[in-house]
Amino acid sequence: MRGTNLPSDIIRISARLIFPVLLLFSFAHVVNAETQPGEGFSGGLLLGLSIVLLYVGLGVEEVDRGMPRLARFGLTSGLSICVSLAALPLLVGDDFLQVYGVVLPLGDSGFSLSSTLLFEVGIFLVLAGGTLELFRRIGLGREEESP
Amino acid sequence: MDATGIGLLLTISAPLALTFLLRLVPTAWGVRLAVVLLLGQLASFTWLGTAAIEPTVSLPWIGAWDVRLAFRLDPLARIFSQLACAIGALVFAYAGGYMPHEHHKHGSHRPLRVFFQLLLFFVFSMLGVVCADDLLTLYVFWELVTVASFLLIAYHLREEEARAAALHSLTITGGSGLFFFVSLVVLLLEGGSSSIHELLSRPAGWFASSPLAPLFAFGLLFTAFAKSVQIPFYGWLPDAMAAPTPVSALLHSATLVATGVFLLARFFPLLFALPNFEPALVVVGAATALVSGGIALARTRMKEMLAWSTVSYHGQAVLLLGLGAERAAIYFIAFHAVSKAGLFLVAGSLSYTTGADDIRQLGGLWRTHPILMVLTGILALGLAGFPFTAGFWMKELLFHEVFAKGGDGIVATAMAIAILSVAYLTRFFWSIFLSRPHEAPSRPEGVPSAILLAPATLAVLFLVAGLWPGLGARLANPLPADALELEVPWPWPPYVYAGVFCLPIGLVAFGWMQTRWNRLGVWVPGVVISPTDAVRMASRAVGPTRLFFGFLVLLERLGEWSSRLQTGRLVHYVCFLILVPVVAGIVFLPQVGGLPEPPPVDDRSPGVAFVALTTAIATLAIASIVVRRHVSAIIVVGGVGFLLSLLFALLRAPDIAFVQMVVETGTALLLLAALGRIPNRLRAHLRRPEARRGRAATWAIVLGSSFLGVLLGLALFAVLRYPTDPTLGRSFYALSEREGVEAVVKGILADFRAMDTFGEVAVFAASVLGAVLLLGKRAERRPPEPSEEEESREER
Repeated sequence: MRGTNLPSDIIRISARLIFPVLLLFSFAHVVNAETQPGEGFSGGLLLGLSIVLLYVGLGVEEVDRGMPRLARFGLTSGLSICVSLAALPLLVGDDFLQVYGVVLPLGDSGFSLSSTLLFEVGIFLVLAGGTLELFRRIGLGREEESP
Repeated sequence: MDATGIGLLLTISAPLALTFLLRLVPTAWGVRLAVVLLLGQLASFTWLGTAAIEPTVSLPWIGAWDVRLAFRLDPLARIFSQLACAIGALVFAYAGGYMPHEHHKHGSHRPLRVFFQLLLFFVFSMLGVVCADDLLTLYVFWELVTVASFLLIAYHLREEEARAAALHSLTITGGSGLFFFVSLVVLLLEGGSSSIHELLSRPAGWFASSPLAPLFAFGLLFTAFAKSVQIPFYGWLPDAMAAPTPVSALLHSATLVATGVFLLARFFPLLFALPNFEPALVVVGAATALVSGGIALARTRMKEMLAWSTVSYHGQAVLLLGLGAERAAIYFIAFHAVSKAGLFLVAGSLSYTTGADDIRQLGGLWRTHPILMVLTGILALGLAGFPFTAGFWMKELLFHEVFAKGGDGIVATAMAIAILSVAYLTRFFWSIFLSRPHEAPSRPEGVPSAILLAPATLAVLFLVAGLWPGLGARLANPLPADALELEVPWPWPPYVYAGVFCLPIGLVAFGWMQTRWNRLGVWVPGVVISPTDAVRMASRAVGPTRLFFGFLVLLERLGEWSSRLQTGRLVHYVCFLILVPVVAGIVFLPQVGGLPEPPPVDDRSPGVAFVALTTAIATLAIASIVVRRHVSAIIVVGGVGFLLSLLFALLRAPDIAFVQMVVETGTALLLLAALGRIPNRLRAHLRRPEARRGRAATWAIVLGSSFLGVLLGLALFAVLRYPTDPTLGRSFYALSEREGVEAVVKGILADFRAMDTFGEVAVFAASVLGAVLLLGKRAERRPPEPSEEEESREER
């Protein structure tokens, strides 16, 4: 069954080709959020979907060999980042979810970096991991069920 | 655009029209039509050339870059297009009689029409190249020529040799096209205009001072050398002899190969001012002419000899250009084309009548084919430089320039080249017609007059241009006003002596070679190798074909090496993808002066696009109810979502548009995946709900869902009517400005309303966990073996 279910060459290759672009785009979507439209939510969703594309193109086993436990890693690490970012300011006496920012002396106008970026990264990871886990659960069911 | 401009456009595009017309008429008639058409084009170009102002046509093409589809018939374009049309007409007339033989010989079953269509397409692109007056137009037609040539060389598709040769020529000429493109872009950026005429008519030297000029010159030389088979690219032409003979005559002697020299002549005013440009041409041209002349001497197949000789003569033309003699080079190219096209056609006729294409199988044909002998004599010996033909004047021009401007080394090289060409052209003539007869497999019928006519015309032209040099000079000269002075002054200056001196020396060399050469030997342990074999082996060992294959092997190694980067492990890809932007950011960020100004906001209402989008959304929404298959329904609903995201983009809300797009994709995929969990049988059953339910139940569902829909619509309407706080948005703007946040939406999400976002993330994570638990529980209920295996693998 599995042998006949292999995706065609075109899908395999285009998945391989498109994936890096999507990956880069989703990262850029988060990192550029400072100045351009974009945030962690849609970036993470995009990353999750692009890995789903890899599942379709390469098969689940192949992808799992390359990046085991990505889904759980994303969920747990993302949640921990968000929670710790929210809670850590309490330790030093600031507000819950306090935002810190610095301006790096790069370029003409400086490059501003703030803890919201890290927050976005956390959201990004949660979304990516969650999407992935959901698809694994639903998508894996199919192959087992069809006799 | 005036009448002559329209005439020019029509004349150039006529072959393309005929290419399509050829499908409709019988091929024999199509060929006659093509001959008439090409003669008409010849007349048309001649007539247009006499117009008081140069015929010009310029149509807008890419407005934003001011690129136009432009043609202009200047004197240089006129000569090359006349050449292409005249030789094209003769080759078509010849091919009509010859091609059936070629097909018979190669056992080909392709319809003959295809051949003529390809040839016409080639003529069209060739005319486009020579008449182009816009850099991009020139480039496009240049590549069309490459493609047409590739298809023609690979005409005998079933033969490995033909395919390899076509690939060889495509790799070299097509690869050089990339360099050509870079050159043209450089010229476009530096000159600020894409009109060739405008760029060339500027005062000399405007370009030479540019720092990018060497790049331009390098790209152009690379391209021209590749196309005109100069060292080190000179291997593809002899390989290309796998093409049918008429193709060799038209493309590989007269037109395609000459485009390289044409290109140099076209941009001569720009290139001439650059330092080291002339020495490069002189050295490459002379070396090519000398080496390929030597190789031609050692070949025995007729077409290969002619091909190497063609390489040699184009080397001489490049040498002439390098000496600054542009007009002489054009005369040289034009009459070489006349004679070499004729020689190729004669070689085709010989192979037609005797079935042999190796000079060792031929001999003593003077008895049976006197006409062919006379034609070959005029064309081959004339090309070698014997008096009373245009070839004599070609050699005089070469020697005149070389003696006037070249050093002693160049003079000696030119004489060696001339002696070599006398030797191999005499050999060509002698071994076919005068040497001892062999038992050649002779076909009973003679040569049909149809395929004699074309070479005969060319031979007469070659002879006439030699006898009345003024006429020839006027035919092949950009400006009739300052035609070349072709005369032999008395008393003879040294260059005339040198030219005349080369003839007997060449004959002696040939005689020596014929009698002694092959008895000499290079001693290799155990065997004697004749000099001919030695040259052949040397050219095989270090020659151009070897060079090409070496290049291919290098490419393959490079590919292997780069595929080592493809480890297949995602970790590596991700590291690479992150590292590159980080490094690039560190390197380039300090140099970026800030973001470009956003384009002015268009304040008009969305208008037509808005209406069209909403209509499309409504249509798709209705369609989603109507479609039967579940998969189709999911796709239609996804379409609604995508159109909605377009709507958001139209309303200038890029954030929401993007989220909508991604979420919609995810939803559609999730639905599809969930659908996959439903067994096929059940799905087929579900597809026809009315079959299971009674009419009353169906109506109940329709009524119920309509009620729900109206209720939702009303609720939405109410929400939209609900008065919102108009200061809210503005206060967020003010807040972001105060905090120095540039992206307001992001500021709201991650800063001002971070608590909400935090809660949403938590809810999302919790719902994912819930779904996982639910789905996992269901999995346990299913048949045990595969699922447990899967689960345990997942746990690890």
